[in-house]
Amino acid sequence: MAGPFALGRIVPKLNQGDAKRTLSMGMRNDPWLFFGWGSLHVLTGKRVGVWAKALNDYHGPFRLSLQVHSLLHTLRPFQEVSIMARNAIIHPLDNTDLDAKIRQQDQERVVKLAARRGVFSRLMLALVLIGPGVLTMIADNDAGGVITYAQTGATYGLGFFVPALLIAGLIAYVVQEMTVRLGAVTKRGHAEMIWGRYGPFWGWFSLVDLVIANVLTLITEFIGITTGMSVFGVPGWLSALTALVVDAIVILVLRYYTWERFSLWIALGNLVFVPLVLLAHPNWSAVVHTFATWRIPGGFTPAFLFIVLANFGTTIAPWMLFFQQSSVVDKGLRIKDIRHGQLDTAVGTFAMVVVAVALVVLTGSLVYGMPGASGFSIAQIITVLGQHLGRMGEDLFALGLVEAGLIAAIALTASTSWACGEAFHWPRSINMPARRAWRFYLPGLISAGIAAAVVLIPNAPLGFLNLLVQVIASIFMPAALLFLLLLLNDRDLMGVHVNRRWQNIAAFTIVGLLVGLNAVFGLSVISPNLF
Amino acid sequence: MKKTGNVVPFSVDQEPQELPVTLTRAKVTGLVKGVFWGLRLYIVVMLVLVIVGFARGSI
Repeated sequence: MAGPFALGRIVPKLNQGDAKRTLSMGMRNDPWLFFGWGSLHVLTGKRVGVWAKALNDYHGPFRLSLQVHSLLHTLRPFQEVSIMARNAIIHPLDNTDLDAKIRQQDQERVVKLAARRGVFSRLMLALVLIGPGVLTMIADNDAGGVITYAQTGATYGLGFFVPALLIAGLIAYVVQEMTVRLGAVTKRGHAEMIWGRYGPFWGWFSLVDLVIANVLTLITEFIGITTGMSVFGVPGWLSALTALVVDAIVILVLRYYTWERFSLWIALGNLVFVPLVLLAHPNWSAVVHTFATWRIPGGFTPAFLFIVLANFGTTIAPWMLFFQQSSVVDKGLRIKDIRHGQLDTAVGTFAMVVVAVALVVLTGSLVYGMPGASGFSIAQIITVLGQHLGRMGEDLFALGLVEAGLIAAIALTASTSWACGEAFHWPRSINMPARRAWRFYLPGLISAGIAAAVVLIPNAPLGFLNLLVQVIASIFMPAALLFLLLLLNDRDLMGVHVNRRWQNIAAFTIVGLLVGLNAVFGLSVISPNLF
Repeated sequence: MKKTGNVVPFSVDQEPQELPVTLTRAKVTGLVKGVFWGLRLYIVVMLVLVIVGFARGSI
């Protein structure tokens, strides 16, 4: 949202002809500008040209849309005019040019690789094009996810949840693949699409829910980071502050392509749980046997339902829809890159499922069966793993937890910034320099700062906040998924890339399942005696 | 295009530029309208349950 233009920004000795030509250019494309210009001319006479030139010099070429009734209410007559436009929307074309220039360089890299022949070139092309999908899926194995999977294995051992996670992965792929197509075809983020197609009510609903959920989820990420770093004796304030600084520097300093590569390197650390599970020497035949039996130790109880809901709830989170679509847009994926985007999402899904299953098998093999295992905290689980695997095992798990929290913090910060930027029509690209697009970066950084601060508050109700995330997700997720489906079936928007019948059947089934699960989960949290 | 070795000279400028779609308000009619009303009902019910949960101390 544009702030008020300061008083006295009148530059003497200006060429009003140039200024008026600038306004005329904008008026052809923007009827609001015509109306605003007309009102300004009536009220201020020749000063309109002065203001237009001043704005042009300060911000670059603008298209300025004004709410006339606000303008008339706040304009001062005669010499000095302060333009305070409520709901003024400014689209600085200079910033868009810079963003487009950087993105074009990224696309040229892709085009050059696509033109080359050979297996190595194809591999390099795939590596260049992966990013949004892998980042989204790996960040889904965030600190909260790692804790959930670890506690699931500790409580239920090798049973139902091993094959169930494969189903969860499939669900995640179907949903996230849709965001790839939507972003690549429309070149617009999810928040922008909802706002533009379904109006400000649903736009605000989505934005507010997303931002609140992101802040609360960020708190869980910083919990994971501080818990993991405490294994190495690092005080909580230092690990939270370091993570916050890393998060801020990465998004502020790096351009999109470099930011993505850096984040992918951090995401690689998520695979640390795979060698850990190999070190645990689980009974692999028992693991394979779970696919046949889907064993539920203790039977179908309310506690089991709670864990099922928590696992599925952590598989698809609202921020994932917004993040991946915005990331696809910022990366500059074209329609012909959709296939690579789908491959990227598939690779990410595979990695996510492998890590999730590794965590369940790890704790299911080493922690399950111990007295009180179902009530172990993550710190206790880490201690038990240390007893079995030695100091190295304990350190690796702790590092994995830190990595999970950090990669999710980076993703959530970007998700918040993109959503706000799309909603308020700010320049919204990680390619943008911080000085020019400070409005874009600020919401994400503020959310991360709040989360880091909350974690450090003594006796903060962190368990309650974690629960609140899940409740908010249970309310918000159905809306986010329904908008996604409506948009993917909009032939005016998607053209030939609209959902096919089998995709709709799969998607609506998944939406129905997730809506049902989310509703039941929300009910179980609010009224635990219900089940 | 002339091929040089294993590289086909190609310029991103030769590709038609893909611009962001123009967003216009969707016409919400029929089944979609029903879906939106269902969504509103779902949200209201869930919010009521959250409030009840807070009041009872379940959350």
